[in-house]
Amino acid sequence: MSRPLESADLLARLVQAAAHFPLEQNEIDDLVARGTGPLLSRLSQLARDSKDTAFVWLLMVVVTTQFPAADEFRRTHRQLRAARPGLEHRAFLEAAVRNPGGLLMGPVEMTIVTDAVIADVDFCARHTHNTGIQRVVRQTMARWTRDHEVIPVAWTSSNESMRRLEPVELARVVQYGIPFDGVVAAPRLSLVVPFNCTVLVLEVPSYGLCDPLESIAEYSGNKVGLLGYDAIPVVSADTVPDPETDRFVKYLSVVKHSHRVAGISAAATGEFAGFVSAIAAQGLTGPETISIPLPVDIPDHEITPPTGADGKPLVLVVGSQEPRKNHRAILHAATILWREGIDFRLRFIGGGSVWFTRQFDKEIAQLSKAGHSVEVLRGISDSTLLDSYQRASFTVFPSLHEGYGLPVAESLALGVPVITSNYGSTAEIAADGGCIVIDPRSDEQLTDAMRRLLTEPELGVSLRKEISERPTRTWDNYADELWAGLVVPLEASRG
Amino acid sequence: MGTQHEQDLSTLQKERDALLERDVDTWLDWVKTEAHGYRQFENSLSWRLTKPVRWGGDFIRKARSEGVGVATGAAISRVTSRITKR
Repeated sequence: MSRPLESADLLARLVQAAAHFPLEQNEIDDLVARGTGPLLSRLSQLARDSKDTAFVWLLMVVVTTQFPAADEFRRTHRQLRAARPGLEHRAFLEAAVRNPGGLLMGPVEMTIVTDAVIADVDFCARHTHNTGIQRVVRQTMARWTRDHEVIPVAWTSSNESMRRLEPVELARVVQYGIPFDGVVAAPRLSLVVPFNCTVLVLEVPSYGLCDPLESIAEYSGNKVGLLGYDAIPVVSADTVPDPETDRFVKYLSVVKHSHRVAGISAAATGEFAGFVSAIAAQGLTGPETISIPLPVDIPDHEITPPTGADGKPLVLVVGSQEPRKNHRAILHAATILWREGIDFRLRFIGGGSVWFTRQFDKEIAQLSKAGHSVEVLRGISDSTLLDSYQRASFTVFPSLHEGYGLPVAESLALGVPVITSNYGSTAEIAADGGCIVIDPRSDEQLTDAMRRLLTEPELGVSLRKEISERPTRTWDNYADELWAGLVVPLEASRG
Repeated sequence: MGTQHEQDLSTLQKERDALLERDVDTWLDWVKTEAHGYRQFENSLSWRLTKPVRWGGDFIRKARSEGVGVATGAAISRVTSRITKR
């Protein structure tokens, strides 16, 4: 446990903050010479008198070492405005008494960062999990940290404040899949306070992060940009667990105060634009929404052609096992085709919540026991995934609701035809060729499409030709377009 | 040498500064007391005994919201981090 907080610690932080207040350097020097109390008092008065809430937000963070929730911010702001002259500073000290979490850990290193681009990548930094959102964040950040000045940040363990990444965390974000050869040392807490910055929230934040992020978006003066993946937890709430919907609804409070949202497909952008229309009823304008579709590419990985005989044609299904992915319809179609005497292997790749996978696995076990060639692979490496794509005759992705549909894009990037849904983001990807689109709610259409691809070789050849003629769009293209479409306008808007 | 008026102002400012310092010092004393209490609470037998139960609760909540795989990964990271800290 470190030593307790001392007056000099607070003074050092206030001096950092003072540089951003409308004060001459000689006045700051004079206040510093007079002590922590006089400097805090003067900054509190300036924060009260300013029309810009950013000064109040900054002073709250500096005093409490905690990013305030929006409610706490409003309470402190009102207390500050109502304070008797000369006692304004008490609003900040009392805010810290109400929220002592950060202070109890003793003094911490804190840097106020200005005029910078800060990317919140908390989940990817802490975890090795790597499906849809994490793939987008890692592919993008690997390029942005190479081509631009961007500071990746995570949050302290109690979601109190932003902090710099440890080297192992940075490697997890920008060098995923490459073994980390640095030293994994005990974490050294180094807080990052954005002031007049562009703050990018590239993931869907955890429930506990939504309060401080909402406050950053609404009060801190920073410009906040988001990646809009989808609104599935609300629009298709019937297909996801309740906590996911709760979390997403909480996240919408961040969205409504943010400044720009880049949807990963036209369909996803439409969902966020719909929400922005809805909040007019709340008297809010909401963020600008733009569409920057994800690429049709594979994750950074060396491609090696598969070796060994394959035997039966492989039908591949990539994606988490959950009701929205419509995997039971695929099992139904496969069962009918096997009964018709069409021989093929069916492989599912993807994990999922045990609440869904338990029953699904039972059905797979029954089919397998009946002599059908069907399997589920979970927790596999990217190389195994890419190998499976290359071995597949075609892939099937009849999802009921997607933000994009990375497995469709990855399949096409490897030249493998796809059966996918005829609306939303998957239809957008399919529009450039190489796919058979179907109504995912029609078992007949799905069964018929699978039957045709298994029994009409010329159809597969024709789809593969279409794929070869598709325009290319890579992760490099996406990262560049996202920077130009999301970051540059936010940078320009903060002057 | 300033006028009497300037001297009075300077004295008043010093007195006011001292009062402001006292506010901060009182607050810092409170922070120290709270931090001490927090450490004592964290070191208490009941808090340490119930730690596995709380970890279990965290795991179940995470598993419900983000899946068993993610929850297990987080638990492993947590244990690894505890070990490497030592």
